[in-house]
Amino acid sequence: MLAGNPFIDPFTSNEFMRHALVASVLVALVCAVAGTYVVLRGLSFVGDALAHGVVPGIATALLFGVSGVVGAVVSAAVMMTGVSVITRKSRLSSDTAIGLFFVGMLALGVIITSRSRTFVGDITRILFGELLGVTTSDLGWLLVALVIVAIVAIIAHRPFVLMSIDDGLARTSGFSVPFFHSLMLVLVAITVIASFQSVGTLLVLGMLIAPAAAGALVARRVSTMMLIAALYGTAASYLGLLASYHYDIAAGGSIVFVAVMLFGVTAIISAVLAHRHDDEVPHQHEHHH
Amino acid sequence: MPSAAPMRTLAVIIASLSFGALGLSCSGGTSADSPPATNLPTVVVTYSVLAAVVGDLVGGTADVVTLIPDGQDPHDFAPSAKDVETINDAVFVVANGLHFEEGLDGLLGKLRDADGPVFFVGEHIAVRNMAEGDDHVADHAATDPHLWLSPGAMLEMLPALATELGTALNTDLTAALNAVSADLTALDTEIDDIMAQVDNCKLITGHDELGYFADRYNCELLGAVIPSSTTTSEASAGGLAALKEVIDEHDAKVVFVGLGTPQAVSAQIVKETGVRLVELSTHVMGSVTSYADFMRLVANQLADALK
Repeated sequence: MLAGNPFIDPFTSNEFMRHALVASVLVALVCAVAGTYVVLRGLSFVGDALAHGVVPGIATALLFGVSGVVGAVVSAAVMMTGVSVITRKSRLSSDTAIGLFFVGMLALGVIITSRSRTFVGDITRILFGELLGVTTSDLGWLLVALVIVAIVAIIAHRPFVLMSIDDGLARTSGFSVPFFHSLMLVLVAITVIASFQSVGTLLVLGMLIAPAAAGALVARRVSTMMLIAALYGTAASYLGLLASYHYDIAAGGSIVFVAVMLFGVTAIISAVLAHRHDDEVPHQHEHHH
Repeated sequence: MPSAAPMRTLAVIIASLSFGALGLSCSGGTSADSPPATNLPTVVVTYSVLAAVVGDLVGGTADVVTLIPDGQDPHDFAPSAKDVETINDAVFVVANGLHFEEGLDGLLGKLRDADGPVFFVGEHIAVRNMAEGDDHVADHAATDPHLWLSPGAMLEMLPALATELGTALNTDLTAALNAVSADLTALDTEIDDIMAQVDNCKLITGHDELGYFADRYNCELLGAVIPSSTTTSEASAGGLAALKEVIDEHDAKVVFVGLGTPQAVSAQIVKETGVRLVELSTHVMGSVTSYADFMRLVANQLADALK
């Protein structure tokens, strides 16, 4: 028993570790798809805003005994509609509109949770999730989200890729940029909503951006970026959980911290390599698919 | 792509719905229980259980106002502007002080610095340190704030409270002090009798909340879902695995959960170890109205589940 394997045994002997690993890997996969577009199209701020903006909806839903997912969906819809209306109807930039809704919704969330006499709407649990208490039905929700996100990403692959390069390119190819932009936001919203129950709203953003950023750093094709992001996210899930187990630290935080560290290491290595191969032609990852 | 007009209508509808829901959820509670319209001076006590003790002491000589609504977690309470006013307007403020009311630390500290009328219970009892091995990095306080869970600790701080409070209210509380002290002594014996029904008192709780109780009534603390003196920490995988081992090793049958215990994590522990979750109201008065009834309820909840 003492001769056990410290890299595997925590998972074989604890169901909560297996559930947490499966949940965080599913989150990593969903985030790899949505996150790559977030990084390529510079939607990090919207992602952050969505991740925090769903808090009041979740808190309200839990207060009334409804599933937090319902509240999150309503909140996300309010935010995205509000942002697009403000951006379209006023001279304000979308940044300002997003910021307004971000702080407004988060403040509302704090107000609701601070004055609730019941304890179910506890803001700590909403922000950090309960990764170590993930149930099989939570895993089901994540799987559904993964399938939806994957299908949308496959169907809208071409306009999404074109928009990642340049909006004009997508427009000249006959795609409605506002429509596909909204669709992309819906994708991010689905990701956030599906992930908050396990990793919490605060840490969804880390999973959304860090692995995808690493992917964008080393790959050129969108699908390769997603693959790398998925691998990084999976590695971060495993290593983060292992760290939480052996060093007795918070699970959700460990995973995201590892994800960001992996990005940092990748960034340093690729910078060093780029410096060394300064004179050479930039390395192209051209494979035929 | 949807046109702007219906989108805007939708936004208005959704927004008004969500604000309507907010209105509903807020109508239920003002933060501090509004003091009755009397000319009595106001004594503010930070949380409900402590307020019950103070209420017994002051009797009809002052209005006791509870700042943190009963049922809210005092560990992560954030005061509203009204709460700050209530504290500033109070003739006397009684608080736990051992970093228990985390959100009030700054406010009460300022009051103390200004030589304001504030009484920290933690300064008048033999403070319990968190057991060794509990000293997690996240814990800013190594002291255990859950002092109200032992009538003995209440007994200890009462003379000092009676003196300071008597001065502030300009009344002599000696008679009340003697009466309440006698009641607390009797209560202590009563709890001791209740806990005597339990042969082997081993406790696993939501967070580390039963230290004073365990020390006084000969219980052993095995562990907690959140091994911390506060509910605001997050569970770790290592901590949870250690808890599972403790449960197996001691063949524990019950985990006592309450305010601030992560529900999903607790449910997972049940699933993997077969323990039973028992509600324990250590931070809430709920339907009971006196400190004695509160302590009896806690003791009976423990004894019924363990014997």
